[in-house]
Amino acid sequence: MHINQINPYCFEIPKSGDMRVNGLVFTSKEMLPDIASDQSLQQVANVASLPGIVSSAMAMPDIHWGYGFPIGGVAAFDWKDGVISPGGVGYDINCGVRLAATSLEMNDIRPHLDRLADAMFRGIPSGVGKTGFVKLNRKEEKKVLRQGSQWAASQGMGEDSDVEHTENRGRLPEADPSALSDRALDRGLKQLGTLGSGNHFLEIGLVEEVYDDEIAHVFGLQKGQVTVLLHSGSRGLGYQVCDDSLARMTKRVAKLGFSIPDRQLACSWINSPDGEQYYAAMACAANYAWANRQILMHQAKNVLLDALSISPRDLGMRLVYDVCHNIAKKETHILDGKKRTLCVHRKGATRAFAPGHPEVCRTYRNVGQPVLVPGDMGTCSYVLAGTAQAMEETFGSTCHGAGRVMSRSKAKKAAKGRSIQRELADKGIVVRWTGRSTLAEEAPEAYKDVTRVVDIVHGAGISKKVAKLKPIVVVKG
Amino acid sequence: MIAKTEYELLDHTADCGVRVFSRTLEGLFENAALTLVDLIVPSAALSPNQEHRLAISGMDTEDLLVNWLREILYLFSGMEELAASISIEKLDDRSLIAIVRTENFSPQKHEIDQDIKAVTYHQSKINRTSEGWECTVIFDV
Repeated sequence: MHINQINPYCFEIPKSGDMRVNGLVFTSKEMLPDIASDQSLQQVANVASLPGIVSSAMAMPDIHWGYGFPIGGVAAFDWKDGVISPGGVGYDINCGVRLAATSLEMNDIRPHLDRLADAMFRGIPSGVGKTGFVKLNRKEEKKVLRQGSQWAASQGMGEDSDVEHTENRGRLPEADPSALSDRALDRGLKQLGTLGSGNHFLEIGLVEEVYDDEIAHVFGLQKGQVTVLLHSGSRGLGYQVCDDSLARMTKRVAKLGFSIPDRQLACSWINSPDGEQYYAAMACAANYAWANRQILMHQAKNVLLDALSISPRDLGMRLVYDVCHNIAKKETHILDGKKRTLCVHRKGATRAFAPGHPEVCRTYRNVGQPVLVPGDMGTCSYVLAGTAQAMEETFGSTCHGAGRVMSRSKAKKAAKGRSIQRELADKGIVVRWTGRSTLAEEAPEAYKDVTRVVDIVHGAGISKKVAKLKPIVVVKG
Repeated sequence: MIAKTEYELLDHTADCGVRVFSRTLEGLFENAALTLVDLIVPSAALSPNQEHRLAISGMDTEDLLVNWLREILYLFSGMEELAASISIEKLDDRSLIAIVRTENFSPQKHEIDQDIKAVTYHQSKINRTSEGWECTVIFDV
C-alpha cells in the first residue's frame, strides 16, 4: 500500500480505487512498520469507500486491526447523506474511562495496599458472568437506558457534579429502549455495577508527573495525589445490541445500492429505519455504560471509605472526567467555513474538544476537555486536554490507549514461566484478577508503548499532555 | 467436549481466532460449536441435562456458520448453559436444524479460561480441503 508522509506525525493513504476520500494515519516513522504489518491500513482505505464520508478516514497512533473499521479509527459521515456502521463503534458500545481524584497521598495508602486490593477485588464485581449489586426489573432498566448517569445520580449513586463532568452529561437523548431486542434487555438486567473482563480494570494510582501546571490545576490534579481510574463499557447489553444490529444490517446490505468491501462494514443510511434503530439502540447501550461507570466509581468510593476508615471529607474523592472511546455521535463541525451536522464514529478513539467549545463543561471550558488515555496494566496512563487543532484536523478526536501489538496466544507464550504478578510487584504494583489467562494475556509487552502513542498525538497537536498516572493497585476482570 | 486435534488457534492481535476441521460439513458445524465452548471452559467434562432444538438461517454458508455460533454463544452468555453435544438434523447452504444438549454453567464446577464475547464475520471462511472441510472464525474477547 502506498503511503506518503505529510509531517513527522501524519501519513496519508492517497485516494485510489473505490476510496471516496483519502486516509490519514497519525503515527510516527518508528511505529509505522508495526501498523503496516497487519491489515489495519487496508481497513482505513476500506472505510474511505463508504458513502457520505467527509474529509478523510482517520486512524490514531494506537491503531490495530478490528472488525471492518480499525481500532483507533475516526470517520465522520454527513448526517443527511451518509451511513452509520456498528463496526465503526465497536462491540463494546461506550467502552470508556473514568478518573476520580482524591485528597490522599501515597503515605496515606502505603501501609494498606494489600488490604485495599483485596477490598476492591471483593467490592467490585468483575470477571465473566458476574452479577452486580444493582437489581433491575424491566421497567427500571428502561429508565437506566433513557437516563444514563443521571439515573445513577437520582438513585444516590453519585452527585450532580459527576454528571456535569461526564461526556454528554452521561446521556444521549436519542436513546429508545423499544429499539432493543428482548435478548439485549435480558442481558442488561443483572450486570449493572459490574466491571467486566478482558482488558477492563479498576486502578488506584498516583499522579506521577504534571506536564501542564495550569491545565492540571483546573482539572484538580497535582503531583503525588492518589487517583482512581476505571475502564469498562456496556457489558453484555452493548454486545447484544451490536450483534443484533450487524445481523440486521448484513441481511439488507444488498439493498443499499452500493457494495461494501468487507462484510464487517455492514451499515445503513443514517436516515433510514435501520439507521435510526441502530442509533437509538446504541444510545441506550451508551447510557447503560455511563450509568455503569458512575455506579462502579460510587462503589469504589465506598470501598475506600470502609477499608481506610476515613470520612468522605478526608477522602475528598471527586470526579475529574468520564470519556467514551467506542461511540457514534451526532455533532456539528465547521468544514470549509460551513457548519455541518455529522455522524462521527470513534472506535478506540476519544473525543478531544477544544477550549471554548460549548460542550465542554463550564469548569474546564477555558482549558479544553480532559482526555483519559489508559496504558497497559504495568506502566502508566495519561491525562491530556483537547485542542483547537483537533477540531480542525480530526473532528475533535485523539487516541484512546496503548493498542495491542501481540496476540493473546503469543502473549501467553511469552509469559510462560514468568510470574507477571511478581514482575508487577517488583514495580510496586499490587494486582488482583479473575480468569486463568488474564494476567499473561494483558502483560505489558502485549501492548504498544502508550507513552509513544501519547507523544505522537501531543506532537501532532491534536491533544496536549497534562499529567501522567502511575498504577499502584490494579483489579482486572 | 472436543478433541484438541479438531481445531487450532490462530494468531490475531486483539482477539481469538480458530481454524476448525472435519471430514463432513455437518461435522464442521458441530466441531465449531464445541470448539467455542472449549475456548470458554477448556477440557470441561460436561454432562448435558437439557436440550434445545435450534433452527438457524443465513444468506450463505459462512453467514450460517456465524449465526449458528452466535446462538451457541448466546446459550452461554444469555442463558448460562454450555453446549455439550450436538446432533445436526438438517444442513444445507443456508439453513440448519440441530439438537443441542447443554449443561447449566456452574462457577464452582466450570473454570472459565476466556470470556468469548462475540462471534465476528472477520475472516470467517469455510473451505473444502483434501481431507474434508475447514473453517476459520474470529471471536471477540
